[in-house]
Amino acid sequence: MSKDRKTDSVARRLRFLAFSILAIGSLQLVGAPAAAAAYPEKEITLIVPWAAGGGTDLVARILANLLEKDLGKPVVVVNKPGGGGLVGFNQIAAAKPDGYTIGVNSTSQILQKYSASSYADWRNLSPIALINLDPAAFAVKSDSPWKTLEEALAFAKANPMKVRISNSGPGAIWHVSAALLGSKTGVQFTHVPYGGGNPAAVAVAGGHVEATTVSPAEVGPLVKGGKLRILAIASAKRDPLFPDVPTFKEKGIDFTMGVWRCLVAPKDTPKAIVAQLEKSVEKALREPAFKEFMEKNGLGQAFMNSADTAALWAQDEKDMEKIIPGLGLKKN
Amino acid sequence: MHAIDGLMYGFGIAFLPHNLLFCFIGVLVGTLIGVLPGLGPAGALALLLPVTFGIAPSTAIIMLAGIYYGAMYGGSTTSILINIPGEAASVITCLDGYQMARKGRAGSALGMAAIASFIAGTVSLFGLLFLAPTFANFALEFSAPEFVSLILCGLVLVSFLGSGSRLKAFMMACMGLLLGTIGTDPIEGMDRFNFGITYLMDGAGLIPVIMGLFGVSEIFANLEEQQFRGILKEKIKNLWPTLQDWQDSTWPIIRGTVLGFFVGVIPGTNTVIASMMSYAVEKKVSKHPEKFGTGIIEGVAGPEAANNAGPSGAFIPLLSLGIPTNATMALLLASLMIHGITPGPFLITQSPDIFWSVIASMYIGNLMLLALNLPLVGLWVQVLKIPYTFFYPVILLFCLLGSYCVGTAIFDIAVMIFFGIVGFLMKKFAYESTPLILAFILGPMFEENFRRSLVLSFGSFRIFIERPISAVFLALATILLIVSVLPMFKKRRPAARSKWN
Repeated sequence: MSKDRKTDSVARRLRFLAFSILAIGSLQLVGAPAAAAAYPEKEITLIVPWAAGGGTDLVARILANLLEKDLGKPVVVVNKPGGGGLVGFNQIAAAKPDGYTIGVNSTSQILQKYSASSYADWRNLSPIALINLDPAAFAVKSDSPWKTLEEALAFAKANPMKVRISNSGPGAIWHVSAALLGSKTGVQFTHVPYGGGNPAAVAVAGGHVEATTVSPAEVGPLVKGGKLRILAIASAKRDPLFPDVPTFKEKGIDFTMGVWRCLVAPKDTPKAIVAQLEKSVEKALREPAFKEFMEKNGLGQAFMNSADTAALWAQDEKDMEKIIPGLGLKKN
Repeated sequence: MHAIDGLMYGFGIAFLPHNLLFCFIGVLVGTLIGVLPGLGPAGALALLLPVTFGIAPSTAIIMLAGIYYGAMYGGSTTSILINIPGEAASVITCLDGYQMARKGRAGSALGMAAIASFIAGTVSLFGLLFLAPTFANFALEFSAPEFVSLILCGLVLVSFLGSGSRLKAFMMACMGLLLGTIGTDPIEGMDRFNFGITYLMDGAGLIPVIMGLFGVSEIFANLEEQQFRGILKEKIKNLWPTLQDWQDSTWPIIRGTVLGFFVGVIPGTNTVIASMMSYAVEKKVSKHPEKFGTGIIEGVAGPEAANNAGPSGAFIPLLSLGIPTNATMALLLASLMIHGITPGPFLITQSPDIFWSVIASMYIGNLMLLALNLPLVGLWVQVLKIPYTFFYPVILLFCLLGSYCVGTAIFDIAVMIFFGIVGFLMKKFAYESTPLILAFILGPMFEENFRRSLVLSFGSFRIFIERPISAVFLALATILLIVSVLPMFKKRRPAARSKWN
């Protein structure tokens, strides 16, 4: 089985390489500007692999509106929920790589490889751009004895497994985040899965667990309401919404982890089209309407171009490969 | 926020033109499906859920809630006029309501049913208004073990409070629990029973299952039967009840309201149980119990009040704990989640617009319903005359569209049709679908919280009895179980003996 998969992926990579050479060759023959000028000729379908009305759906719909204005052709959002996003990922990957079917993916696509019986490999997609990034926020109850990250970690180190950390589901990003924090600091936590980021945050407020590592957006309302306190954030820079909260890096712990959302196209979508979409996205993210929406919903604003996004995916996969086998997840 | 300030804030939102419009659409559709035998509020809610994707969450919940309590009003019309409950909760209203109609007092029965519904609907809202915020504070104390014990209580009630055979109800509850295990294991993330079908990785969809069991199966069942169309020929007059009617109905309405509200709060119960209990109470306290069933107003007023107070009660565990007490509430929960709102102890503080505007809209909606059901009752009678040959294809088409819209997957349509057939067979052999659907909804919540409790307690089962709230619910569940199982043994023993002799 594993051997099959390996040879399969090697074959796929070779095919990809061959195709890329061909694609680059043909582009040079036709001339890239001509191809770019022609796109888009008709409406673009944007697949959201989650239910309508949810967080990712709302982000996608705002983005679709802005892309529509910039590209001059309708961008239609189609929801394809199911299988934790797998149904939608597969449909994006299987679509004709002509730039007329694009979609949204998130960290969960990389995580599924380790937690689900089947998954869609991110290598079957080409990234257009990263559109949102929410770091993990280490939060405790406001009347907790721990005022600083050091105090919390010192207690956890002295009492292995005694500190219970709520997360948004088994094998989900916040579970992995807490585990990664544990491995970087040499601490053993007890991980308690909840049905999502919000219930996980409420569990801390109710005093049922000691801490959580969900996103600032998920703990934010409770922090403002005086129920929770964030001790550190796992981002490269301080969060503008919580300027007083230090990052893990400042505390000397090399721990950055978070959930991201990206705009993607099927693998082998012409480079010129990807580049054109990337430019449109970058422009859209700077629009006040988009910024306002993200701020209102407490979502982290970030942008990465196609190449950086691909590098991020590869880095995340490397990190997760190290962490996930130790989580005790069952996979059939 | 103080309750009165909150309510004023809520009215501010509920009176926005688009919210008034959606509230009206909700109660109108509710009355319509209440009047029409066949589709109940759960099925109708599932149908209209996709419509709400594009609108604001508060507006969506205002409309969906309107369907729920609107159906409670409409159901009585059909019960009184043609002795068929338009909606399951109105089954009790048939007993005396239809007899009143036969005596030529259809007007009084319809009038009192609408007035009792209105009084119960609005008065019980005060209960929701004042109790929900208190309950929400208390809800923060609710950790995994409390959920486990509460749900256990609910599951015991589900299988023993049904109207038919207890054994069959128990079997259906077990089926529901099994169905609920499909999907991803909530604690270790293992895939279960999905047979490699990606669409089953998140479990069987609630909406297609409900549409199949409560919508499609009704259509199949009704296709088989020759419908009784004996609508009263005479004109309905004297909708306003007489002074004597008022005197007879005052206490039944008060008792029915209180009873309906508190029964509504308990998970696993539904409005049928509330109206059944109200009827039983009225019969017990009445000076002339022998007259029940011959067409007396108390038999209409009490149960109608009870089934309209139920929805207000049911909102408390939904909004403060995220526990749906019945299938209709489960769909409201689903629609909240679709809009990114997680019901729980912080709903009232984090989304005050939703909480207060929905309550305020229920006052407005009840007023609209009074207008829809008193002066316009003749219109609904006309609706009843439309042949089913026209109705069923339309309902079936909407079911197909509705189940597809939620996930845009053909697979969901297949799930719905499968459960339509299952539901049809269940009806034919007198198995109730309510225990199945409730166990299907509560089962995964039970499993998840049970296993989470053990993670929290580092493996010790004592967590369930050490925490006081949990211990109380566990004791309650045990008592309920004993009380409801004992009569079964008592009955069986003499029978077994006679068999052996």
